[in-house]
Amino acid sequence: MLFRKEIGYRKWNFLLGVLGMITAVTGVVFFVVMTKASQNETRILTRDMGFNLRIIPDSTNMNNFWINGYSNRIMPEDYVHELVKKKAFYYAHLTATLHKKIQWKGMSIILTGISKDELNPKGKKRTKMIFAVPSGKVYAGYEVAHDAGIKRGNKIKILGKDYVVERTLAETGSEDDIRIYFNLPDLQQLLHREGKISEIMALNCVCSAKGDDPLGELRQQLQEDLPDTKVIMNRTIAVARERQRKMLDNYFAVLLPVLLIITAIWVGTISMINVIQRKQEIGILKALGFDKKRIAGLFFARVAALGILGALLGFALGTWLALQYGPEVFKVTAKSVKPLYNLLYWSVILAPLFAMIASFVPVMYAVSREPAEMLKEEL
Amino acid sequence: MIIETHKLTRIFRQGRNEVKALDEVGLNIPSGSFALIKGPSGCGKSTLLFTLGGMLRPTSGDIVVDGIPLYQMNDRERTAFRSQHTGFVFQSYHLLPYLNVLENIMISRVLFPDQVTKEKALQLAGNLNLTSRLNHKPSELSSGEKQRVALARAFITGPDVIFADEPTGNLDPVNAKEVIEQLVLFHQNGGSVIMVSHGNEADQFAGILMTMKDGRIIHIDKN
Repeated sequence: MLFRKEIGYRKWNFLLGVLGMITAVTGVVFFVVMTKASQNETRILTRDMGFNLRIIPDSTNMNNFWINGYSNRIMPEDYVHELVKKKAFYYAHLTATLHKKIQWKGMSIILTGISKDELNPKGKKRTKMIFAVPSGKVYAGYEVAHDAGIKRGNKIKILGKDYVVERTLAETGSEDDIRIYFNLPDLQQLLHREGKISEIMALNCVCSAKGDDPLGELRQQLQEDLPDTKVIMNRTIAVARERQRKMLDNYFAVLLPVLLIITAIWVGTISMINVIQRKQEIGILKALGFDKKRIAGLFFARVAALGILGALLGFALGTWLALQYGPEVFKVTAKSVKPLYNLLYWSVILAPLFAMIASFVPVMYAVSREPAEMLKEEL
Repeated sequence: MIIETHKLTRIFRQGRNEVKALDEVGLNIPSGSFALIKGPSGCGKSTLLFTLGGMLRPTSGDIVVDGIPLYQMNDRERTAFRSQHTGFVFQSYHLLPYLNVLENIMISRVLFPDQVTKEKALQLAGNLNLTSRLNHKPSELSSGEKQRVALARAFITGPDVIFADEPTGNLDPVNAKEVIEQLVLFHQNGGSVIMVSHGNEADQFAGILMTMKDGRIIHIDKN
């Protein structure tokens, strides 16, 4: 009762404290929601840049590899499962593929088998980067479909076997336009290469590497785990991903402490002003027999109320701002800018705690003094 | 409640200087006394009062209350002692500005829910002519009314001794007289009063009249 009445009496001091807390929580919530949105945007944009790691048989002739666009050597499909088991290998979206260039209807095309399963580290669910072709069906690349006059639902014969065209793909402006995509087991069977693959595509973040030479580290890991393979990294994509992620991490690492320090100073100062204003009140309460704990409780209840109110309003304001401006900034993932309700939970817990820590020193100093010292300046 | 002091000293530090507010004060106040402390400004009257009331730790010496050394208690014990045995009245009232009259009188209810009842508060308010002001905040009261609220707040827990620091200092003669009468009434009902005053309005009621100068008691009159 006492602390509620006091808040009503010194409402401006209280409101200033709430304002400080609102500013901090708004800033943090806005920043976290925007960061999340930015991470989503970055993930989608960089994912759309394609896989950045290609693991191929060690015996691959690299001249042929770059000319053909794939390795004409093969390796066991089990390798992809071996990699999943290796905790030290940092990756996402491991996809086993098999490729073969053939002549078909007067065209040079690439048959590509894709495993329907993208493998990820245990416990990590990720959005699929690549499609899964149903068994008995194929997807036709843009040029193949265009030049051969293939449409969805057509039956086509490849190397003597019939397949239904499930989809014809949009133009990509890359060698993917001359591919016909299969379910991996279908192509393995067609090429008599059961249990074999020519490549594992993966998405790897160089930020996971500890040193300055992520490719070197990857190669060393692979050398230990799968000695008859080698890895090629598309550095442009990898570095772009890395830079984007580091940039976000750096923003967060700088802005968050600054916000917290400013808020701590603000709330601490407001609290100190409140303590100074209530010096004689503390003195009289002590004189009347209120112990330290009870008096400190009155002050901490006040700052806790301030923190909770600031957290609720700050969450609402920060979320509103993020929802207002987020979609304009992040065009690709505009719809994924959503309120992060777990932030409300954390705000309501941490903001009062933070406010109490910020006001701890002035409050404890005041309640630890002799009542007479608080009641009279000069004795 | 018998209050004794022996070589009670309190030194304040003001920058590099030391000011001896109490200089080896020794006194004995028997139970049920009305003790008045007088003297010029800055002689240490209030310091002595606060120290006797357990509100200001002396630099050296101690206060023994009914055989118990007050400042050998820890802060929690001394706080409990104050709440159970003492009441305070100050020159500037020190009412909580955000509570009304009734709430100020009953502030100790948090500590003594059985003892500090609304009935008792209303009865005290009636005795002190505050019944019509129960819902008023301190800022809406006259000086006399504020001091009467402070008296009611001090009386409600049934203390053994009231420490009053120039309780009439801000009051006109009529209100000052009323406050003194209430303290005298408390004393007549068996309580002790230890009061600091500049004026003479309480002299006639004081069983012990102490005069201080430069932190020392230079004269004690016992009636």
